[in-house]
Amino acid sequence: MKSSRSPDPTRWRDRDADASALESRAAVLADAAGPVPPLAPAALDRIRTQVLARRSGRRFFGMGRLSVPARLAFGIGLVLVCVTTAGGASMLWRKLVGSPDRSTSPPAEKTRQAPHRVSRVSPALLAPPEFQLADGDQAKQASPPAGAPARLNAKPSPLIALGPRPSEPPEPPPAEAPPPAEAPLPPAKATEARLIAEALSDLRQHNDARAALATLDRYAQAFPHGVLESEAQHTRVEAVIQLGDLKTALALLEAKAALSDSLSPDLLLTRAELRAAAGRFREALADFNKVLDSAAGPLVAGGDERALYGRAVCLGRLAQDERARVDLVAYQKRFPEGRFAAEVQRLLTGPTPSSQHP
Amino acid sequence: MTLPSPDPNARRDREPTALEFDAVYQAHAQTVARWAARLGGPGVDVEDLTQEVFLVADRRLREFRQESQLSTWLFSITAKIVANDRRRRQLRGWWVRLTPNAGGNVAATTDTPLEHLEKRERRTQFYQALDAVGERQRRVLVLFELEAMSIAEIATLTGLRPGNVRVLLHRARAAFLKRMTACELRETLTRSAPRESEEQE
Repeated sequence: MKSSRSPDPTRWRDRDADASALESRAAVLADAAGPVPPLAPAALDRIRTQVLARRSGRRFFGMGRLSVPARLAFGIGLVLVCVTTAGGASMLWRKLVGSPDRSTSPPAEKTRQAPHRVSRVSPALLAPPEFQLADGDQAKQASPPAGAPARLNAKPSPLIALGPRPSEPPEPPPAEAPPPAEAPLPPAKATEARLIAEALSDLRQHNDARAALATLDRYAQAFPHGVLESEAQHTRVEAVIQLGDLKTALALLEAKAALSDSLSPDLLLTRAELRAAAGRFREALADFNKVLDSAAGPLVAGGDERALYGRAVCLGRLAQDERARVDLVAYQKRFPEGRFAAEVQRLLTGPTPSSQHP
Repeated sequence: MTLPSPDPNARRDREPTALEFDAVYQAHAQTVARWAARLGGPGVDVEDLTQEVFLVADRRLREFRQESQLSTWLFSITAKIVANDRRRRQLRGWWVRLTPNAGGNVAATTDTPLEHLEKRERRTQFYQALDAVGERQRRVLVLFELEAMSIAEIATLTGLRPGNVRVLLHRARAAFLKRMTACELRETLTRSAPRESEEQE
């Protein structure tokens, strides 16, 4: 056990400055792995529920105790039994019912089936659906069915808020149009503000972006044109970014920009960063310029810092090294202790900003 | 590394109860999720893998004879499930020619998209280089460099001897650095090509 007493080798990240360049680069990469955020309590609950549900399913069928070959044999046997039963039943049917009327039955069947073939759509489907939602039932309708698996429910489509909403009840015929006073009221227990607050709480306190998106989907269904739609959009983008789905976040922002004329400064800055992250550096540069020229309005805390650094990154990626260096120096002067200070220092001390990451 | 063999006597006596599973789950769920994220790398669905691990653990809990530590047993399950998931993703990527979807669940909440970009690129590079490392070496390297575990702790967790862990770590590092250099070279070439074409325009 000689080896167990010798000291552990040094980790790449703990190496001194005299470590080889190769190991230093490996240390940078290992650093980027960063800490893993813990699973949200809601996610833990989902997993536990799923595992326990599967366990009860195993017990019900009694398959949990069987080995794999036994399960296979059981499955094959089950299929054989089904096939034999179906074959026997069909033979019995032919003997008892089918043979005496075989000469006459096909035309009769044709005549019976004809109306069905002509009217391909059932009258019930052609009739407008009736929506009789009582107070409070709207939220129930928006929530997924109870039998659906939780993992599927947990990942809603973030684009649902922007796209058309097919689940909206159709307009009643004009003759029977209810007076405006009878328009469906918002659910008593889930007002707009409460739903948005719930989504924000999921997102920022519980660190559960999926739950926040599910709440926002409920909001979008309950309040298609709510007063807090803008806040909902903002929260949705934040949640999608937190999930790491930058493409969807950018699509949401661009769709919003296409629908309304202008984005708020914060959303503009986010769009600039998302465009840069997507490799669309020219468009990102235009957005960053707009933000930094104060054309977009006041920014949130730390917004200037992000914009300045982002513009430097874009300029570096577009091989405009001199302009990138100007921004980096300006950043260092304005934000010596900023969140990107170490990265800026690394970029400035390197050969040229464009030859390095970012 | 093999799972503890089932004990037929213990199998009938010890029926797993919700309480037992709950205790294991409460104590180890976050750790298993972290292992899955670390071993799987970018694009891994941590929640899904954690669920798979505990499905297996729940099914085989009565077979666990406590000859090894529970964490060792859970780690071996996690490592196998993550390895299967990586194989599936590689196969899917080969078929569909998907680009690696970095980021995913290991994203920090306070990162801006640009920080996402930088970290994602480096994380992708890290795991690209790690792909050149064999499965056992990969586990040891991840536990040592990312989880900051000592050689003794890794030996306990993986069921290997400390000397073997050292050898695996040495080989893993060598393979990693070799692949990292190759990746950097390839990326430099691919990055310089479009820039030259832009300058010509």
